[in-house]
Amino acid sequence: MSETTTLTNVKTGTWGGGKSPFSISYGKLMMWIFLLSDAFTFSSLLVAYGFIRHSYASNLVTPWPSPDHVFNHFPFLHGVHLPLMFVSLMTFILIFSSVTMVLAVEAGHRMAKKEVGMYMFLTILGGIGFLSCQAWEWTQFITGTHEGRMLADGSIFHGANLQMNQYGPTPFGDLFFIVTGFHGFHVLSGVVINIIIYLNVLGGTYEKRGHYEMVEKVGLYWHFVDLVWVFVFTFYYLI
Amino acid sequence: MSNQNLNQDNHGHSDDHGHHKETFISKYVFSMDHKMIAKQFLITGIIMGTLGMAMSMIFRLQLAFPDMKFPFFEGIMGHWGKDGKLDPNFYLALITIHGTIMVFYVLTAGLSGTFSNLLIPLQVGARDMASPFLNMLSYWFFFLSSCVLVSSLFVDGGPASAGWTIYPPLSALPKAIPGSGTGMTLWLVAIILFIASALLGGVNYITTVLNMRTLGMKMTRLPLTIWAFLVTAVLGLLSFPVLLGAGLLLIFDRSFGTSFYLADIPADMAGGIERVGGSPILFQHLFWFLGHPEVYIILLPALGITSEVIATNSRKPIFGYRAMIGSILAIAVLSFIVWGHHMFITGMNPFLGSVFVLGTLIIAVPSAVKTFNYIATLWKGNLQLTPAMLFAIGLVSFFISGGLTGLFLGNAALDINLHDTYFVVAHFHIVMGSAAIFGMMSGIYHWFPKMFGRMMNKSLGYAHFWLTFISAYCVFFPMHFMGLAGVPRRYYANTAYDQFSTFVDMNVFITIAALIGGAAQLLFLFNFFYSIRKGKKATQNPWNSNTLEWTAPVKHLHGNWPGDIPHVYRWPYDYSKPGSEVDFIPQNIPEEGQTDPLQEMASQHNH
Amino acid sequence: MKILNRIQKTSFIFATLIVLSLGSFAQTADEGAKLFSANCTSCHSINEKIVGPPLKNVHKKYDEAWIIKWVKNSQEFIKSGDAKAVKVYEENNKIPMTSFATFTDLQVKSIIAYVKAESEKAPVASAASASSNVATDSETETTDLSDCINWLMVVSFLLLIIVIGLMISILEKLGDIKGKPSINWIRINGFLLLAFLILGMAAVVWEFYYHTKLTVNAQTPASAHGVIYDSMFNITLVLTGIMFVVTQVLLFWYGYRYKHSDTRKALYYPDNHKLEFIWTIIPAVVLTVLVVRGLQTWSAITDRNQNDKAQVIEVFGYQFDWKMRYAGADNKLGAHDFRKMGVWNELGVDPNDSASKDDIVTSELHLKVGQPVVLKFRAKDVIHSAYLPHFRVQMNVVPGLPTQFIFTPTVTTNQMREIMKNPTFDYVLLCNKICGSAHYRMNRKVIVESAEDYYKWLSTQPKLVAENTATAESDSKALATK
Repeated sequence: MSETTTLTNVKTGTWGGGKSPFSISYGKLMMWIFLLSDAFTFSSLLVAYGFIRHSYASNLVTPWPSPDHVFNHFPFLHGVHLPLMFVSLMTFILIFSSVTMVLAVEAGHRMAKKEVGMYMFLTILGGIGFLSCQAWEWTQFITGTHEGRMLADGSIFHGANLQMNQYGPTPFGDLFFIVTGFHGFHVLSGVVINIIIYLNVLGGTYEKRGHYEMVEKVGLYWHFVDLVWVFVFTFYYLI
Repeated sequence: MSNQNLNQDNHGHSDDHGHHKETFISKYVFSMDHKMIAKQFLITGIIMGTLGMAMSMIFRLQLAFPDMKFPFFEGIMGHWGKDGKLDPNFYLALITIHGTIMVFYVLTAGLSGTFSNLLIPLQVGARDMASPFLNMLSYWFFFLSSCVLVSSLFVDGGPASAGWTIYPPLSALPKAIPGSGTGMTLWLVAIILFIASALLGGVNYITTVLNMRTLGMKMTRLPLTIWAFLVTAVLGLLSFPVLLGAGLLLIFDRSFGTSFYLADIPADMAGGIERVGGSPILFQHLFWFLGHPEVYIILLPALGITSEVIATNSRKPIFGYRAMIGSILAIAVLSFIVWGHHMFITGMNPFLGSVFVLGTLIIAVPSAVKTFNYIATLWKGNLQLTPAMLFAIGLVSFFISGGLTGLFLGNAALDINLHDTYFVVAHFHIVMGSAAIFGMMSGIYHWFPKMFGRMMNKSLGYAHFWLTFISAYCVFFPMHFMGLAGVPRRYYANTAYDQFSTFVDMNVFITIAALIGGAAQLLFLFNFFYSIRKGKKATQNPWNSNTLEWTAPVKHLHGNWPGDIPHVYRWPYDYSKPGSEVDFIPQNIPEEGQTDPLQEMASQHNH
Repeated sequence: MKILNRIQKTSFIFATLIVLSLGSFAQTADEGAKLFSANCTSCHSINEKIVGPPLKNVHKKYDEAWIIKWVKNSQEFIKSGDAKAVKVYEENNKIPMTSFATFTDLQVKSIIAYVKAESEKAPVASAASASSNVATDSETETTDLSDCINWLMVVSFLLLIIVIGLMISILEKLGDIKGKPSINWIRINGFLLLAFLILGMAAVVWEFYYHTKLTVNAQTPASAHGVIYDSMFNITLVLTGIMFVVTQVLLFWYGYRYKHSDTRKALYYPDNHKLEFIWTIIPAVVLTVLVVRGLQTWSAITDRNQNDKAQVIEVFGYQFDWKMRYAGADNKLGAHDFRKMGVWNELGVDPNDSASKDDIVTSELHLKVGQPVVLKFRAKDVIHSAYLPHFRVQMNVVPGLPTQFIFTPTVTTNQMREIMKNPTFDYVLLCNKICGSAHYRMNRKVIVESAEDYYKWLSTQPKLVAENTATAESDSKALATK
């Protein structure tokens, strides 16, 4: 708006009106607000996790399993006890993709179209890599181990589904699916959005627009998804 | 949703408002103009409100005359009202949907959706919302959500019947009651759509208030309406996602055999799968983490509207402007840490209960400050008793009456005997129901000329106010005594225990008062729709108000102001200022010696 | 007792009761009465539709064999395609009735006999209820005279509104013609505000005078902690009452006093920090009193240390009734497991646990006066809430999450009857959390009595496990062979 442009040269109070108090566009502000709100969705799931897990604190009949002993597999290394190694790899991949995202945003500031494209591509690869790892992890979890768990009627149950699992109480499996699933859904949508933006970058849309703010916005989202994973990792796997 | 956030750049918030040609569809249906969207919210809200009110009439008749037959029940409800007797299952469905509609569809979307949309851009001095496209989506999610909820009335087994709080296992086990089948699923779908709408709206409101205030509109010059809407939007953004999470888990429990909320449920009751290990109380924690802020999501906009209406019509500045902002913020912060007071008797740890007692009762302090400030604003004013003003006074009265009974319920010890009785029904219908409805009515009477360019009929407005006010007190005040006698809420009839039969007369009285109150709303509906077409033409600033929306022309423009957006030089409450000839000085009038807004801004910055 | 199995869900017994039976002897009807009140009343009554339809004269509509089949397993019966059964099902919103597979034919017949007997005397008994829903479909409505008057009042009130409306619009038109308004709305509304204040306050006083005596708070509390509860309540009532009167009076008085006048200008008075400070401090002080007193009361009531000497009684809630389990001589309840809930063992008591050998299951709650009790709550299906208003006791009853409440009843039922001058008064245990269609009927009598009466009553109640040993054994055998 015209006032805004004339004003930028004038010293006015930060909150005095006529401009953004944070000096960012409304789109980015909205993204921040959306992420704040989405953080609460994740918190609700993690709180649910904490609440239910806490209720098992003194339960000796069906104790909460130790993640070390559930998530100890690694592709091609059958039978080796590698606690949390694979999850750590996943975490690493996701964090790495966040780094490439930072580089893409930085390249955007320099209006370097080629570099933005390259780093976006790497980010997308990282996202897809993470999702593939998660698919393997889920398969492993669902198939279960050879030992399984003996049921009351003498049969042996392997792996997990939403109704029961071999590792421990039912909510252990349920929470695994819902928490990592909901996060995976966020990564998936992040990848889809990244692909759209990537195509736009290649098509020169932002070059024409004169700025790469869209890349910054998806970048915010991507870092958020990354950050959430750190919490999921901490609460679900480590503690 | 993130997708929409990202792509909004394409949907322009460009400077060339008003250029493109408008078709009927783009102007009235898929409108991106905030004023039109406000009207859409309002009218949808009014329709939903009428439906919700009609439901309350039906169950009030049942409660007053449990032995009587009403042949027309069969006419309107089919087999649920067979032989003129209301089916007990459908009674529960009615109270559930009545609660849902009133809490979410009328008092959240209908109230804050309408007035946030209408007033935020106009009062902060913006051409439109930050993202008109998301704003439009917000309405259409709401519309879709309303349709899903209404359609759930017609499914087999009836709509959701577990109370608007849908506690599992009742809501999680499709076999527990008829209403927990398809109806419950549709309820959850409707609420998830509603949450999407609320979030889209909220993101927009916050961004617009923070980023798009006109030059000179400092945060301390915002009208209290805007402060209320801003804080409301923040509350919504932080609490609705939690309901989303809670709803998601409930959907999984219902449809996919998980056990988040279910413990020790035998297989034959839960779709053939034994459910162990979850916690029914978890849902209540998540639900009330939304549920309690929700009360303020409803109430704060109403209080904001009241502040504006009372100041304007008292011809006096609102007393203690900063204290008012402070109490809004205090209420908002506290509202997040008191949800447990809905759960004192779930067997929670008594110490935890004590913490919640403390938080809950502290909320009474900012609420009391607001009340006293309202009363102080009236003192030595020059009160224009317009319908809007009367409704605002009515709100304050309800806020006092209902707020004080909150001190009983917020005290864990007293809650033991009052929890879930009619005392609770009385309490929240007064403080949240009636007060917020009165705020909404006050807003409608006050800003009707802004919305439709015409005035509402005054005498009908007065009749509407007095009938509603008196009947609301007649309906809800006696209910306290029923509650104190131990009559539980959500009872289909009070015939099963002899002691309750002493309340037959009172129930009849309440129902008659409710019917009168309901009839009074017909006056309003007539007045509203009649005035849209035939009301007296409005002048630009009919109430001699200071805020910016009255500087915009009566005829709506895309972009709100024909020329430049007015700049702001003063707070919005310069009414009856000594030394001024007129008793109001709009915000866009410079103070003496202030001519250039840029200079003013610069000099203030240098201080 | 074995027959007193109730597994009721959302269900109704439609035809339980129809009888063509030749000889319904008084004795079978008595037996039937017992069965009926234990199994059927949460969903059925003789004259009224509750969850299921009224059972009056059902014996004339269906033959005995049909009814027996229906009662024992209505779902299967419907699936078999029986036209009548399907019709009944559809007429009642497709809500399935619980199956009573354990009933013998004789038992169903005795219930039918009871219904028959009741149907015959029903017209007299139900004359009081305004419109008894007699099974013959074509009866006319009976409406009380007072209802008529009420309706007339509503109609005439509406008419009055219309007349006033017309008058106003005529007056306004006159005003338009004369060029100045003929109604001074501001004055009228100012006076109305004042009138509302005066009449409203009068109404509030009248309410308190007239209705307070109906509340439980006006009655002697029937439990030890009820006394401190009531004193806390009264403190809150007085403090909030003062606030209520002061603020409402100021609000409406100012509304009247400062109504618009052209000759006066409002006072520009935006702020006064001292004043604001005062009215932040006053509520804060008042609230401190309430919080401190409230928390003292709360911790006194919820003190778990009183547990030791308390007598243990389990209260078990399910759709739509209550069961009590007395711990017996060892004051220890037997273990329970929801998987063991079965036909004879609705509470899922573990019959092999030694503590459950002397457990007694009853459908009334009897308490010994002066004896601290700990009520342990458990639910079968959905959340219920055990509410005993006269004792100031309430606690949610949650499936899978045991809760409890400790209190001491201090006034016997007979004493309370004298105090209230109501010889039919009874304490009650209500369900206070929405749980389904018959939620409003889910209550049981509570009786507080002297030690002597209490033990006399308890001794007549059979022990759950002993009574059902045979069944329990065959159950466990069946399990073993599985």
